[in-house]
Amino acid sequence: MSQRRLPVYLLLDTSGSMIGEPIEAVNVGLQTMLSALRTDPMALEAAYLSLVTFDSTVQEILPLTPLDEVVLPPIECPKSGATMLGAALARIEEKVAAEVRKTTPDQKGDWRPLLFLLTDGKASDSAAWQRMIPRIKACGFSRIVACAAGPKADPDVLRALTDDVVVLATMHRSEFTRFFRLVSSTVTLGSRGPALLVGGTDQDEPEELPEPPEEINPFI
Amino acid sequence: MSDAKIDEDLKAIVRRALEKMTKEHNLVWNATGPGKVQQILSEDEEVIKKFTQLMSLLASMTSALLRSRSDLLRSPPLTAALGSGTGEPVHTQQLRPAAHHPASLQSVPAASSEPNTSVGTPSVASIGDLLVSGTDRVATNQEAVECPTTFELPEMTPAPMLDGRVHSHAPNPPITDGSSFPPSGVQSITVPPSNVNIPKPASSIQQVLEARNPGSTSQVSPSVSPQPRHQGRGDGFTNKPSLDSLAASSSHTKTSYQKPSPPPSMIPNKPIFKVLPMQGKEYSLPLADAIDCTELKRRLGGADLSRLEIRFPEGLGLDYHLDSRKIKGTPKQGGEFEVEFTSLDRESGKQQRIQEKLQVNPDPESLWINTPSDGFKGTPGWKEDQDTQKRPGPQGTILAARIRGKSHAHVGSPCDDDMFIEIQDGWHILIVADGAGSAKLSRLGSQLAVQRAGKYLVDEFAKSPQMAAILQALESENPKPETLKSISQGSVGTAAYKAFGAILEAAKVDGRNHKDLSTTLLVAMARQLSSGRWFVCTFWIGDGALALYQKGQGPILFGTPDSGEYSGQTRFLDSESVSPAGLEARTRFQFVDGFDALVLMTDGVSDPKFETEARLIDRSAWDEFWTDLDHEVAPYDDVEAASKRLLTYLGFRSPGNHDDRTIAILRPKGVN
Repeated sequence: MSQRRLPVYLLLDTSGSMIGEPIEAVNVGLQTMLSALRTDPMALEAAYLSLVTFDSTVQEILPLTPLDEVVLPPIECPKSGATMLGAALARIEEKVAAEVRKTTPDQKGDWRPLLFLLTDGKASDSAAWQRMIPRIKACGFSRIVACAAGPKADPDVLRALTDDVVVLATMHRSEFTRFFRLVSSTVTLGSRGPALLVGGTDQDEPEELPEPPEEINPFI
Repeated sequence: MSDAKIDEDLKAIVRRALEKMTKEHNLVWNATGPGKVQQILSEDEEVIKKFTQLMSLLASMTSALLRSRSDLLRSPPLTAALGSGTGEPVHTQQLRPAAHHPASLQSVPAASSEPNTSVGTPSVASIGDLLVSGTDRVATNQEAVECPTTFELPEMTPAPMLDGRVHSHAPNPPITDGSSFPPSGVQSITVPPSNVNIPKPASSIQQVLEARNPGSTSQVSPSVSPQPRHQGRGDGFTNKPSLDSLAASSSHTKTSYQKPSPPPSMIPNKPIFKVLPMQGKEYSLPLADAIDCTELKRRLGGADLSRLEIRFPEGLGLDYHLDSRKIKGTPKQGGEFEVEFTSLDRESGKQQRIQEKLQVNPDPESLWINTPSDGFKGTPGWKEDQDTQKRPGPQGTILAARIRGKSHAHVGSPCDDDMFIEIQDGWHILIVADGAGSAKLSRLGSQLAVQRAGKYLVDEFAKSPQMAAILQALESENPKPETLKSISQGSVGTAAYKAFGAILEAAKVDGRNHKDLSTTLLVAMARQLSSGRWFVCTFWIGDGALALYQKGQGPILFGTPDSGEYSGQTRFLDSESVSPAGLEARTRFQFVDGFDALVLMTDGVSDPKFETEARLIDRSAWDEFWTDLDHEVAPYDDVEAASKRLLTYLGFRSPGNHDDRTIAILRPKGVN
């Protein structure tokens, strides 16, 4: 029986500055996150994870996979890499369009997907990054959580994409653990996000009672 | 030793390091002339950054060393090394291992000119070599040693300011004609392995040298078990030194000395298990499908797997069968378990053994907890976690049941659904509502909606002074559609209108927004006429289902569920939906001669039972649904017992569907 899936996209920076302690901390954080998710019944039943890394190139490390089948290899950084954040977002947009199932009369749609982005620096392809911001916002994510890791990351830049910005002051392991704990708790309970009000009245206006229905007229 | 001399020596070291880098990595310098600022040309920010870091690191380190070890500088071999400028590492002088002396450096005796017979250490001159080449082993005139791979430095005052540009005393650029620019525009530059981090200052150089493993000269044995430091599988490295690696790039081939490839233990561990078992589910896979044999072999030092033994924890339920080369069993528990792989080399009889963590997925069903919502008692909209209601009547019986969804139960929050049933003067009233999951007071919204709508129908509509005329119209042979519409909109439509009014009223309380009380609403009212046929009218906004079920015929749906592109998206009771246009669209009526059940349900039931809109109008889907329910709930004459069975029915298992579940059913009398 097909089941409604909760697609979770993880987008991780593997640029040169992540080499060493930071990427190790990410690997540990990922495993911790997986362990935590595996103890949550809702995540085990519905969460599908996909992991994409970006440096000078964008790589899909893990295609959209049910949580109980996820086996993660350690993420590695190439010897020196830029931060092609724009290209990474473009890839995410493609994947969402191709992978996330929408509700149709014949198909049960997925829950709105989640996006988690971790970067420790600024986009090398800043024009592409700027261009992708509105497009990612239009992808239908119920939440986008961006993590600015370390002193060189700029949370304000990430705030153009989402209000949900987590700042890791240092690149220490404990900080990364904090981020991955946030990821797993977001994915679990309460992760479905607000149900979208389709059509109807403008949400920003205070609602008023409309014109009352007419009295019954049994003699028409 | 004068500061000037130190500076000079420092520059010399930097110069030699740069020469080495330039030679090995074909760096291109923008030589603007002797003594002028020079620049590395690179488009890659990262490259410049790395280079800057490297230079700072190098400069600080050597400077610190020199300042502390001014005695060393007097030693002939070292001065010779510094002054040689030939680029050849000089290994005649060894520093005494400072590891023996945890206190200050001063206690280390001055270097002698004898080769140090204990632990070999690289000379000061070749530290520069170390850094630029990133080797973690240096051939000294003694055995190879493992070197720290980053250095923690004492605070430097003042640290030389290096900013990616090389100021004076630049090495001679490899471009012989001394032209200002490289011949063909900007060239890309390869820099040494760029995994250099600017290290944190240590409290003394002792710490730096202590971090090394004095005397540890052998290759790390691959049979040493990994040291996992955290829960979860693997931390990437076995026997990893505590400091980051400056491991040489394997693509780098221009060195003038041998750089060994990283020992097997330094390659990050890939997971061994490819397919994870699940608690309670049978696992039966050939070895090659279950595990990454290449990785396993590597970790076992290349041992062949024909005599592999796998030891699973006692009582887990998994075993490796050597004869069939299969891992089989049904794990009794979920969690993290330690598994031991042992290979036996046929010829040498030697055993290699490693341990690996295995994640067994727990059965999600076993993880759900049920916490009563008592913590919310007294808060607006709180209701019992489950409820049943029943109304037996002469023409038919209404049963209703409501149960809190697993997702709420897991965290102890109250049910967001609500319901109302009543039989009043021949009018059978059924109402269900589903508060929006994301709206913080939606449980109050659903409660207010069903109560207010129900109250209107029972106290106002049923007691309408126009009732006689209404009934007359309904009982007539050919009632006009406009009349029927008017009756419907004036009853269930108006009930919805009143419900919304109650929500708006409640939203006036401080700090509330009406959206906080968002809820769906399904209202149905049915009356059996003297001819025996029934009149049914309905109002529906949101998801869930509202239908007449008739065996052997397709269902009569009283609308289509509101849905969005994604699961969980729907519309809620709002101003538009109860405006004249909204009522026009959402109010329906139907005459029906007989039926098996009038069913109202929230999406907690319709999603698992029907899944798609297509199936909601499918006859066989309804037959399946009703057969299943009827089997659990019938017979209906003892309404008390039947309603309890209906509640039990709502506990059906459906992975991935853990929403609140509410159902209300009208069973006409005389139906089988």
